[in-house]
Amino acid sequence: MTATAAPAGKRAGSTTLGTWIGRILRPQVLSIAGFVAVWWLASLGQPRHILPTPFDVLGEIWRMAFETGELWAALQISVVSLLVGGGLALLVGVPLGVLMGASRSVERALDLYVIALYVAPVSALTPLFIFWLGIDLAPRVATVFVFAVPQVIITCFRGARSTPRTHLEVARAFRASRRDIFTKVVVPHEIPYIVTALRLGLGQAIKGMVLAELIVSTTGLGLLLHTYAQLFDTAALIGVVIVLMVLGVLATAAVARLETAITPWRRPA
Amino acid sequence: MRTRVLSLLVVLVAWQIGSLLAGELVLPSPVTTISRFGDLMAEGRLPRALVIGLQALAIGGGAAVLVGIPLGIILGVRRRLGQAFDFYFSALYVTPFSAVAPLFVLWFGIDAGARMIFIFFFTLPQIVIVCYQGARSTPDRLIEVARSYQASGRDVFLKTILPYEVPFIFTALRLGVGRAVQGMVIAELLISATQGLGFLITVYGASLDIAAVLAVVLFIMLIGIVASLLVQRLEDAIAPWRHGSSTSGEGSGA
Repeated sequence: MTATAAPAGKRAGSTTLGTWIGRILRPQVLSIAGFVAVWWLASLGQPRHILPTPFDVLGEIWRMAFETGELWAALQISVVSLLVGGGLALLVGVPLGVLMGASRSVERALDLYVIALYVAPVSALTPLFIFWLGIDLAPRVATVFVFAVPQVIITCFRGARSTPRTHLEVARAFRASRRDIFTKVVVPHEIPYIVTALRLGLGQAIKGMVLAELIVSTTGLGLLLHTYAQLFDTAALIGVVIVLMVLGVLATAAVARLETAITPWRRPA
Repeated sequence: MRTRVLSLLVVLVAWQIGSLLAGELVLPSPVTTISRFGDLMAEGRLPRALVIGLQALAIGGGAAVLVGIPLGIILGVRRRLGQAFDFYFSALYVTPFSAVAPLFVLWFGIDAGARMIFIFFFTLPQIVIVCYQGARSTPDRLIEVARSYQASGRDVFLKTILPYEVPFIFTALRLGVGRAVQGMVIAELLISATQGLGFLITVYGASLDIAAVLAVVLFIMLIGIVASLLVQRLEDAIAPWRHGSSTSGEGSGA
């Protein structure tokens, strides 16, 4: 969606000053500035624990990041469950999705569960993981996993299923074996979908990570959220939320970059 | 169909064997879980909790639909507005809402109203994003043709953009229902500690009644699945030409 904003900056054309003004006055920038201004005005009459000013929140983020350093410590804890759970989701989800796409009988055997997990509120499962896996890393990894894996499977399934029929027919006409068709036609077609699965799964994984840190074991960023909520330190609380949003947006954008780099022809509309 | 029944049987048998190996206390067998579910239904605790949850769901989710559809369309039709505001909804969509739950408690308390507001904000971005994409999915060429025939702004909207939007509204409804159920569960787990399905999970969890927890969890998941199946049915009935296309969150990647 960011790509559509480019012409607004380009129109200013030759003069560098004009280009810069055009670039700075993009609708997004204006809109963020407006949002911060409204927030600031709204917070003026309010006590700090109800609605802190944007500057309070920035100050708190600065304090957590550079004075106490608690933000980095929390991030380190959180990222472990994210990486392990998300990695497992890819390891399990990509092959399963591809297999389901390549074989109708595998699809029929599994689609029920995948769709069920995809539409069902998986957050409800989290309390069960406490019984089965304790309150350490394992239940948090499990939560991240069940949040991310249906998305990964479904995306990879679509990829394998969307292999153009003409390609399959050409391969068959040249007497390619089933194995050759799979490794040389289906899998190459699948690769961009795996990156898409990574992007969509990552967003889900971050949500699972935070939920697990609030419900299963309060640790990492979840512990920060919990503590500051208990202390009614709303500025710090909003600060952590903003850090999480930025983390999600940056990580997703980075994978989206990778996506367009691998498949430049698949430009999003 | 045979493969599906077979695979369902395999899972049930595996569950039964797993419960024999791990012990009823850790993993209650399917039979125990179902009979516990019957108990909870007969006692009336589960239906009561369900009604409480569904009320919040209907009001919060309904408001999100009423606000989200026009909002998404306006953002899609007015390109400038769309550029200025669409990323708020993308950002809200990727935000882990469980992190925002403590803020909702500070601002709105822990009663049913807070849960409705939570469900509203949880569902809204999904609906806005899909409707926004729908309004922008009208091919530019068609709009240009309509303009070159001197169609008024209203005609361009009603006769060119809206027909492209309709299927997206259904998709928004289906994805929105699923998301609202998820929001309901998160709200009940994190916001209200005194009533609803999430409360039942907490209570039975604390007394280590795992069969009851399992029964409630599976029940909640079933509600989510049935809800989105119902909307799918509705979609098939009202817009049969859409059958089978784009069955899930293609738009959710935004």
